[in-house]
Amino acid sequence: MTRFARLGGYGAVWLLAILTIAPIGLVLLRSVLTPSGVTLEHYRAAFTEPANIQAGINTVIVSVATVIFATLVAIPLAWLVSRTDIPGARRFRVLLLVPYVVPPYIGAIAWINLANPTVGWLNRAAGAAVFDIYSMTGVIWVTGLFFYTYVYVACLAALERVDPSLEDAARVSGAGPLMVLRTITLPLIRPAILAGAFLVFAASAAAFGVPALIASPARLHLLTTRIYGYVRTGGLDGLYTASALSASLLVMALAAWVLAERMGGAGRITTVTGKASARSRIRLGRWRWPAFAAVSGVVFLTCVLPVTAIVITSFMNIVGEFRWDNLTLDKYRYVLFTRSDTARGFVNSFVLAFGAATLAAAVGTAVAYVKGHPRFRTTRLVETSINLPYATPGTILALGMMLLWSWPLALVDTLWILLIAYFAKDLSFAVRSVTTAVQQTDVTLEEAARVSGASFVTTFRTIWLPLLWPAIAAGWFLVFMPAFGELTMSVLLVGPGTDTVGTVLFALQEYADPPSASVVAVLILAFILAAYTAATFVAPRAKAE
Amino acid sequence: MGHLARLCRPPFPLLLLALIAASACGDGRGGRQTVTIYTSIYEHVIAGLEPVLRDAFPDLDVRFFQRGSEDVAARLNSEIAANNISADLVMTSDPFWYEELKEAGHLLAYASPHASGIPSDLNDPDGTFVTVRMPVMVMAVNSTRVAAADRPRTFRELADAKWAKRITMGDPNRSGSYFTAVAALSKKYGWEYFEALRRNDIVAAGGNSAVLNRLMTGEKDAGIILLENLLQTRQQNVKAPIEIVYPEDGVILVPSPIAILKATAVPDAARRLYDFFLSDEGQNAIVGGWMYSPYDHIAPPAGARPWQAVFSAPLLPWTFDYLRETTSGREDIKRRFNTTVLEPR
Repeated sequence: MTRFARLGGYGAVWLLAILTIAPIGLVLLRSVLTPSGVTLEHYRAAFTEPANIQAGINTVIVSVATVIFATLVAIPLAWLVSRTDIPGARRFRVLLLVPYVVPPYIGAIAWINLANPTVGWLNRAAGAAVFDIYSMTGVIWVTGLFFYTYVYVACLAALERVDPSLEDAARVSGAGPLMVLRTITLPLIRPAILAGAFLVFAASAAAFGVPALIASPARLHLLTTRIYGYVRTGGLDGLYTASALSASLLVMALAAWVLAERMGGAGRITTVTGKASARSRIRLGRWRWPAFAAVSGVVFLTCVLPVTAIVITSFMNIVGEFRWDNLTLDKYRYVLFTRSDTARGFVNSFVLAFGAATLAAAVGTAVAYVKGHPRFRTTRLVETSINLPYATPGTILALGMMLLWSWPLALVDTLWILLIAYFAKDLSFAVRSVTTAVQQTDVTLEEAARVSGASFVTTFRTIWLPLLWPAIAAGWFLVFMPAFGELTMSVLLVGPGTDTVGTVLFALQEYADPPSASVVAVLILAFILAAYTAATFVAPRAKAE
Repeated sequence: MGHLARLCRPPFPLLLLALIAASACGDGRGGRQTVTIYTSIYEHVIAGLEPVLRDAFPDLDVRFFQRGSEDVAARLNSEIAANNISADLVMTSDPFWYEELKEAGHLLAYASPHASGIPSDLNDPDGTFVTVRMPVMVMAVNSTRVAAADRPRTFRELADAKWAKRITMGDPNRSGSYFTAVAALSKKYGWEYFEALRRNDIVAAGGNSAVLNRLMTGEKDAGIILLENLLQTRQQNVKAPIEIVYPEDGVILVPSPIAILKATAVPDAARRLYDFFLSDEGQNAIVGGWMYSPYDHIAPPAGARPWQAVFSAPLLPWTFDYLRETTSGREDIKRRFNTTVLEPR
């Protein structure tokens, strides 16, 4: 490598670190710094407030309960659809992944319609106030119905890698299906379960939309909603208190990480999809149809019921009255053609998600190439730049972006700050997707090209790109989808004119106009599901990750 | 997969990247001046104003940033703290905040020729802000769940145990009209009134539209709410199960000002807009958004009681003394409300 290229490489690495790690460091720094020196004053201010302590406790309760709920749901699902002869297994595999791509706050809005204590549809059907969504249980329920997919995806991939001969051996020795599951399969996929469980914990602790919509009306707060409150109304002091609270949220995420690693799980957040060898599926016998009913029930609760509720609500003139003449398109007309913020939100979110995905795919490809190539190596700094923002709660990342980009380069309130935030948060998806493909590619192909006199550029274009495109496209979608519906960071970072679909929907539901919110939710849902369908065609691996 | 993979080859993403770059740079708009208004006026009212403004000011690009009043205030306050103010005008419904801004020296004095017709209690003597619209807070009930004879007649009645678990209002930390209502009600009836509302488990969340939604769906039976939301609903939706109640203890006045920020880079354009909103044309556009005008010669909004009937005996008369007193206690009122009504015990 020439000296020039080497310098460029260092420059790129440091630029990446500034975009991704610096904001997090800055939050930690600001949380202990005042103009007069180092201090723990902000922490004192944050933790002498009983409401913040309660919020911390609530965050732990919600996160732990969601992990338990999500894991208990996900493991049987993964096992049933991948290892047994349950009818419709292929369909179920895809349907059960839908909550992976839909933003959870849409689920929150749907469940508010379904289970609010006075006029929720379910309560009315039951004739009594059986369910109360405005509660901790409500938060855990909705969060769990979305985040089970993390454990589910990890288990699916792990189950496919399990050597079938081990299970066959047990079966031949006379073990029943459950015995095999308990003594062979589960221990083998334990690391994957733990990795998934860690992701659920981190995601639940970092979630903002669901608790803000469901818990706040019941006077319940989590750390993320408290932080949001401080940033929104607290001025400069609020920003410092928020930094201190954020630091504790980060500690919580790191503690979970260490615990998961101790238990032998973490470190493999990602699970490489190996080759699915031909294997016999376990015969469920007379349990076949009950199992089918159970999995259908899950699909009903995660997809059918909420989607139906939100779609019907969006067409109701007076929300909650079930009559044919109460259906109307007026709200669509109003949201699409009268309000100016909806269209702007969609354009902004599309441009941002597109930009972040393209940027992440480009950087991800470069990093993956360097990483997977035996001739080069990546530094620890690069690895941290990619993985730390992913593991860091979005609230902290956003706070850091606000602190970092206010001076001397003022990007606050512009689309750029959102673009950088999305890029930093989701870059690891692109890197992982492409890395896998690079590792599976034989480097001798490249050597052959180079020996034949092809330049680096030609080699990259003719050898690597054609081989890597499916993985790059998959990585692109894995960034595009979460970026499009992002709320947690956006809610702190949007300014005049830079609303995203997430913040438009959030503002409508929580403050301005709940009936219109259902319309925007349906529009987001339609877009996301269309993109998801497209993604499964373009890049079959996108859904498997 | 073949053709889709081809779609993903280099020229295509590059093209789209160029598109993004183009859209990011496309803000030039041919030399028109940009004026930014921070406001709590509803999106649909803004949507109605936008074409009018385009016609009246072809040389201006008027941009609105719309949130609840207190969100707007929090945002502008933090911009002021960072010395990076992007608003040129503010037009929200928390009159006390304007007094605060004025005292801190952030407002530009401007004696608009149109402001002279506004009653003196609604017009800052130094000309830094003036009431540009006059929303009022009343009550509403869900008519299918509350019989005509059972309706509350006064704000005071909502404190009765009869209304336990059945009432709602908005969040004064977010909405300026609710802050003004809390200030007026606590002044008139004391904090015991809010203690009683807490005992009745009042839901105080979101803004007026969120409250309206709770009443429409029947999630709650009765609530404190802006008249304009009710008028609009009644107008657009005759079957809406909503009944307006003009409280016998008087409506709550929410005189909502307009002001120009000293930091504006476009003072002339800002003054022209200020004049426009106070002109008959601007006032009629505002009344079209179902709010009263501060001028008594402008007709009331469609379906509302006459000006005189509403403004003759409000819950509290509006004076500059009351304005100043409440302004200095603004944070205390919020804190008191939060501990009394919002925070868990």
